[in-house]
Amino acid sequence: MAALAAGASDFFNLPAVDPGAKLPEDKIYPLGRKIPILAYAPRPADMKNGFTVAGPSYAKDKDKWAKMFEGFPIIWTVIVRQNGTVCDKDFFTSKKDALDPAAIEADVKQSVTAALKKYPNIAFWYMVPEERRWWKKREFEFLRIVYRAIRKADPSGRPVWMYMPGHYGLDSVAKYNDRMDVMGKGTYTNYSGFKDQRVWVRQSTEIMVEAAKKSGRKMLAMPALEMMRAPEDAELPKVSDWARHDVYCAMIAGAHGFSIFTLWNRPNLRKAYKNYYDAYSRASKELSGKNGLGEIFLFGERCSDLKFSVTDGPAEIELKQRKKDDKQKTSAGQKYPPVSLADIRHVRGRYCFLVNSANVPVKGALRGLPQERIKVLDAVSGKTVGTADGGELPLAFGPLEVKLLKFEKP
Amino acid sequence: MKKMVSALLLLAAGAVFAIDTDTAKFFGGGPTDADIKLPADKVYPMGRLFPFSFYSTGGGPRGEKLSPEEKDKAMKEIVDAGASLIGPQYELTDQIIADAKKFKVGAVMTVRGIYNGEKITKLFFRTNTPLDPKKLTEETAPVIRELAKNPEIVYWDVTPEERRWWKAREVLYLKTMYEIIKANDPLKRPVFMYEPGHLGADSLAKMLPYQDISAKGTYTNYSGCKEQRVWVRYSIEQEMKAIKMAALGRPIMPFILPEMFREVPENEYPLIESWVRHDVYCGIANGARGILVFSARRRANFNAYPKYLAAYLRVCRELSKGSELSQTFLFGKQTSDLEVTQTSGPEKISIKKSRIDTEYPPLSIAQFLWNGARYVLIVNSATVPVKAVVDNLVYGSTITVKNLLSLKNEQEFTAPEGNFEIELAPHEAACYKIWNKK
Repeated sequence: MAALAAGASDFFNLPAVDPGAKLPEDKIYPLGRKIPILAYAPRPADMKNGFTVAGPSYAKDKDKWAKMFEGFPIIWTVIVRQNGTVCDKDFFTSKKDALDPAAIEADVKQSVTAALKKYPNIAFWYMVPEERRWWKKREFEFLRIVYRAIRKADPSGRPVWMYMPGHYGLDSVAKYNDRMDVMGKGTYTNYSGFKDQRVWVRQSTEIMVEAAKKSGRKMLAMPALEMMRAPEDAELPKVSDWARHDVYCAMIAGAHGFSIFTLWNRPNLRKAYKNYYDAYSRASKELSGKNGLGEIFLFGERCSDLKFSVTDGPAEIELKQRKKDDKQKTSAGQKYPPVSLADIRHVRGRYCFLVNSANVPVKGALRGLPQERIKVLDAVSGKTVGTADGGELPLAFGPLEVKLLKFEKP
Repeated sequence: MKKMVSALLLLAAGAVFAIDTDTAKFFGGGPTDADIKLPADKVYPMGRLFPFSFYSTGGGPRGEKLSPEEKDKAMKEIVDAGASLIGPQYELTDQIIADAKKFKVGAVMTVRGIYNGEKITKLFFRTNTPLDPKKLTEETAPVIRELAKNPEIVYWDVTPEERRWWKAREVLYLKTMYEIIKANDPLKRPVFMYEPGHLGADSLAKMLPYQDISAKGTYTNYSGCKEQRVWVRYSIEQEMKAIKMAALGRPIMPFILPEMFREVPENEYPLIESWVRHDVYCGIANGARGILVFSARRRANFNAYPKYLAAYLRVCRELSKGSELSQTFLFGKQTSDLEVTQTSGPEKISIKKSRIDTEYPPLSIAQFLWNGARYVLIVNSATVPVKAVVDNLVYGSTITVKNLLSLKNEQEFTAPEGNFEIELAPHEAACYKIWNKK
């Protein structure tokens, strides 16, 4: 009943102020208006294809790498040295040197300050070695020291991130929320065994969003999406749908942006590379281009007026996975509606973004619209695609299909 | 050109912050099924069957015997569950060879010395009768020679058991019996004598020169350790230490003798399965390579018997002929590169008894590499749940994990990024198989 329509005047009562209005257009969120779409191992040419931040990069010669991306926002990898020793993976696995917080802080201060002097285009900081483990006291403390040192050396608030493995549940991810600004865990759907259960992207993103909320401060949720594993030849036609689904499923679930691992055209991905690339690029352009949808997601007000009712297709899809602690969201057999949606009010208009995570077609009705006839537009092109009458809009989705809608008074 | 530079820069990165994706290395280098040339139907060390037996199967309450039908039924039940052996059989010893033939199973043959025309019993050692080893040999050897013709015999069990290292005549008895068996059994089958559960490594080591199996009582409840079951770890560690101390230059097999003879309050019946599983797998995780359950005799006023038996038979099935676990534990290469880090639960659990005051972490862990897969056996000895992370796995989308000891039909899952979290219930045993599912 909650979905029963209000009048058009209520429905189209848009916010008077854009919370992002004062932020610079050419800077990356949260310091600017541009949605962060990070591309691991990019080429400079990629930065014209919708991706907004270059990196992370594992390049050994970081200056050489950074010079290739002059004029583009970059994420800077902070390689820490403790009294001359690089704190790499080996430092944490083979060596047992006690942490020297003062030495680490001094090193971070020096490298962050130097990087900022040379590269004002730094938009994010990236902590390595990645995947430092919360159950290892030394590693977890290392993150705390490095994070605080970066924050101290760069008080302007460029977000700090370290990649976390995709299988972490809420309890694990939330542990990191006092030692970085981005909850960004792997959301490699195929790689993690969820190729045919892509609603896992929703669960994975919701874990990051929830972990960020638990911090009590403003944090970003940014899943790392997959572009590194070769599908079977017969699956090549599906790649575009997979990538598009995963991007919008994450955004609808509350992500503030995402990263793509990786734009490196690795030999094993040659056949699928273009399909992946084009799909990610298309979605990225839709989100980051002029009047892109990224601003709607980042600065719009999430509403709950609209509901989608399935009339044909599965009423629920079950995410089957390993049973873990019931408190975590990774419990077995968690059920989701096939269609997830984001009902958003923004100064630019009233939007609804929907994604079908089922592998089969789904039909149904979007309810909660005004009773009066309203125009339905494609939110990307701005073209009218139909009208809705009597408070509902019938919709038919193909498997994994995304619909990006905007509503206007006639 | 820029393209190439970018690729080269990326490649340079690998050396500093690389993740391990070398599945061939991670799963390779261990023994495989084809490497083991032992027969599939003989008991270890002569074959590939995991040593698993019950004392006194088919035995009745004290002073009574079960009917032949009841005895056969009891025997069939344990053999059907995969027990590789029967015995020691005590009062049924005279039938063990016939029963072993009938049920096509190995036998643990109990033997005792003959002296002055009589079988040696405990009473002999309460007298001052001198023991002449030559005379003991002359009288006992013919019996052993005759018995040794039976291929059903797998191990020799010397009785009267619990002979004491601080009694020279008793040491001489065990030594002589060991020598008689070795001289008269062409197959040189392993010999042991039951040792009491309270003996420490120093004591056990003193008698090992005359045995091939270390087999001491591991009666957890009976020994006052119902709530301190980590005592099983302490107990098998005494055996392992004793084997090391004895330094005999020949293999000694460590066995445990878990408990099945003592009634427990009815409200504790639901705990029996976890006790049994804990004790057996805790023993194995800490080195045991054979299980002799004491005992399957039907006792008066032991109403928990069916619960205990069902739990032991389940374990028996898990370790039965051809089972993946039995082969892993017997022939797998022990590894130590995987890391198990406890993340919740008590840091230490202690055993406080009259002569023991020690502490252990709650988890016992053993790792194996077998047949192209990794196995991590983890046993929680705490009376509360414990969480942990299993770490240092190779990375890959096909890395798959399944708990082979799950009682809840846990499904396999993918562990693509190097680690996975686990939670073990009080006294739970889990064995995670990790493999590359292509």
